[in-house]
Amino acid sequence: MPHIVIKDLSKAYGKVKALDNVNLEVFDKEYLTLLGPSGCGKTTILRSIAGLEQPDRGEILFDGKNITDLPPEERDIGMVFQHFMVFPFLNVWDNVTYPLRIKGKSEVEIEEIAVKAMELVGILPRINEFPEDLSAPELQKVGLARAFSTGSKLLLLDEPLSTLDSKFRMEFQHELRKLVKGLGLTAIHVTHDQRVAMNIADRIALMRKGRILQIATPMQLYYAPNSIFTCNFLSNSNFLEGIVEKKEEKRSTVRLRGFGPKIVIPTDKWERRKRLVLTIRRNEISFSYAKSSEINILNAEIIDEHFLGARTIFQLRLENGDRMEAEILTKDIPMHLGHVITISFNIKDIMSFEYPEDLDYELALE
Amino acid sequence: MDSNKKILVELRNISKKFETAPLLQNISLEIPHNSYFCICGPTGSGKSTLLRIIAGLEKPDQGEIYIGGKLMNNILPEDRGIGMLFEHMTYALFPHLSIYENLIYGQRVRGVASEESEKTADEMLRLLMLADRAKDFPRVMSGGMKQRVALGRALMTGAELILLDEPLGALDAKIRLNLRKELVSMVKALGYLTVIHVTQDIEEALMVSDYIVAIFSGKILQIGTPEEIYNHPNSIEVCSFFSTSNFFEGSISGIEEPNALIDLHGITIQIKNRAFSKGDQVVVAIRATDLSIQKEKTSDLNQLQGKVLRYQFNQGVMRYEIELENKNVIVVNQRYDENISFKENEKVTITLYPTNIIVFPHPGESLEEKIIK
Repeated sequence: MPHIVIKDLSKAYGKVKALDNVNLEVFDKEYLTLLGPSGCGKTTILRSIAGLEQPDRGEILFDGKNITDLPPEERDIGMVFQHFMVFPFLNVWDNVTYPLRIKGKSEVEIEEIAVKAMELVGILPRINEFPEDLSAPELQKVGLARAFSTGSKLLLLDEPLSTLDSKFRMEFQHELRKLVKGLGLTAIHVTHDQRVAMNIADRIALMRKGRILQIATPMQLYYAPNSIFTCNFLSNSNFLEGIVEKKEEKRSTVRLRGFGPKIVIPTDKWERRKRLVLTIRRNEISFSYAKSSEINILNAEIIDEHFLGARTIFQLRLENGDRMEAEILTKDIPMHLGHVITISFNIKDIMSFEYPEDLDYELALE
Repeated sequence: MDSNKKILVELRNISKKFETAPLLQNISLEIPHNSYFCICGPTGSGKSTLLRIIAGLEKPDQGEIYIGGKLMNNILPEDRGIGMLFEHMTYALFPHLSIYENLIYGQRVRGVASEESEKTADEMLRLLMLADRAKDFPRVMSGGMKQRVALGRALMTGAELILLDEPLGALDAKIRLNLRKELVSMVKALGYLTVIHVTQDIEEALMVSDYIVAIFSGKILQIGTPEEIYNHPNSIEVCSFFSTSNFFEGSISGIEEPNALIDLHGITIQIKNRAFSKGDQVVVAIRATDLSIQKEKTSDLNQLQGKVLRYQFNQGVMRYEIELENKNVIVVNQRYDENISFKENEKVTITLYPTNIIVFPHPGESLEEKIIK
């Protein structure tokens, strides 16, 4: 029953800090994704757990046992790679059974384990085929069957879905989660795609520049991000800059920059005159021609629109020149380019963050 | 399509086989000047082969390619006057030139570099989110950054016709989303470009293109604006590829003009009749976003009952899979609202909006074959 603790893990490549004091705990039977942009260190964590990378500092514990210096082959881990890593000269059967042979299992054992693994992922009918005759999803199924047949309770996955078509990806991720849960495995899955992470994970660890910024369930991460970076990475949000003008109980009024419109936010935690970044997810903005309440109603001009099928994205310009984006269900739209409209949003959907003093807030989003 | 516009690219009856399997069958297409076309279809549909044929990287077995009215079949790729960016091509940036120099190289070589092109390069760097990296060299950049530079360079070669094969493919999901918008801005800002862009990403195609060419198994099934393709698909293939839709087989069980009743194996729904007669076998497409779920039944018309099999939260949307009384499973995507959410095995009522239901004549063969996943 894998329970993994990572303590103060650091790793540098020259001057670049790939991992900067990372702490992480993964619970037994948990499906955790490591999410972040390229170069954030997520793959380095995975490779350190696998033993393919040696950290400069820190330790990795499996069920309380320090395995930091253990060679990879002694760690009892199943691993699945982005580019499948199947042997082109071996057929499906030989690819899947390869690690079992290395371990010196008997033919009877091998057959029992491998057939079960191949049946699970649905690759059994193609047992005699060679990799060149398989599609990308089939190749990844071979990779998965091979990882399952190691019998390891810990599965490490490095972007296993990124080479699959978007529609296959949807289906495959449901299957993958079902298999992992069905076998009672602990999975750590690296991805840069927030949609995949949200669909598949029990918890997501969001990373940036070698650090973990937040670990939470998909819904917590989406609705309660702890930084503007998290907010930007997990959702399509608008960022507006302003200063606290008035403080009341449990709410405050923020004046947007350039003596812009006022926005009421659901907190009294900030001091008057504090400079803030407000965030509003673009799918939480509604359009109307008439005023429907007294607060959080802004005038906006539609300056661009992008049809995305079920949804349409509007670019809006506020009175102070600030830009916003709103995502509206296409079937609800009576508005078009050039119209001046009122937009509104619910007070509970506005989050506020301290303006990052040392840098432009746009840099804090990257 | 706007018939007054001058045609830049014309394909006539292009066919291509790989061994005996047809990759492209009788493709004819006209692409006007100054338009943005996406060729969109699933893996193996022939879309990349078609682009490579336009580029001259592959020869068709049959058919002609005209660019600017000139027959191109025997013209080498480099003499076709095309800017291109192909997937899996190395980005081929010059290692000894800075990012800025790489961008402007094409225009320098052609001797058309000017103050104007320097301005364009600056603007391009800003749009590519690389403004602060202008003086950097390729070796210190990530793969994603190099891809963005390669994209910028392809747009800036000075060529009128630009071919892009999955130009945003190798990028991080988040950057990819941002760059879609910028790509359109870049193309419109330059003003003189005609772009043919191959992608299997539906949202990308809907967002960037003036026209989408929907291609399946080597054949063009539909050409139209994003709105036409999404709202008025001409086939089950196009409908299933471009939206998340539920497909059900049924038959017209009654006509009560202007409405028609459709029997979906035990469940009856009512739609506006469009030229169907009683007894016709049909396939009904209902998009997952055009449905809503509530607890209680409030009407006898166009409400279905079922129980929740599973649900999945993603980016503010809850995706429900619901088993109907006839054991069919329907997918509903609904905005997440903590006050209106349903659990596994909960009995729910689904409301259909008949104007958003698309009805196709039954193809006569297995429906599964027609649904593109």
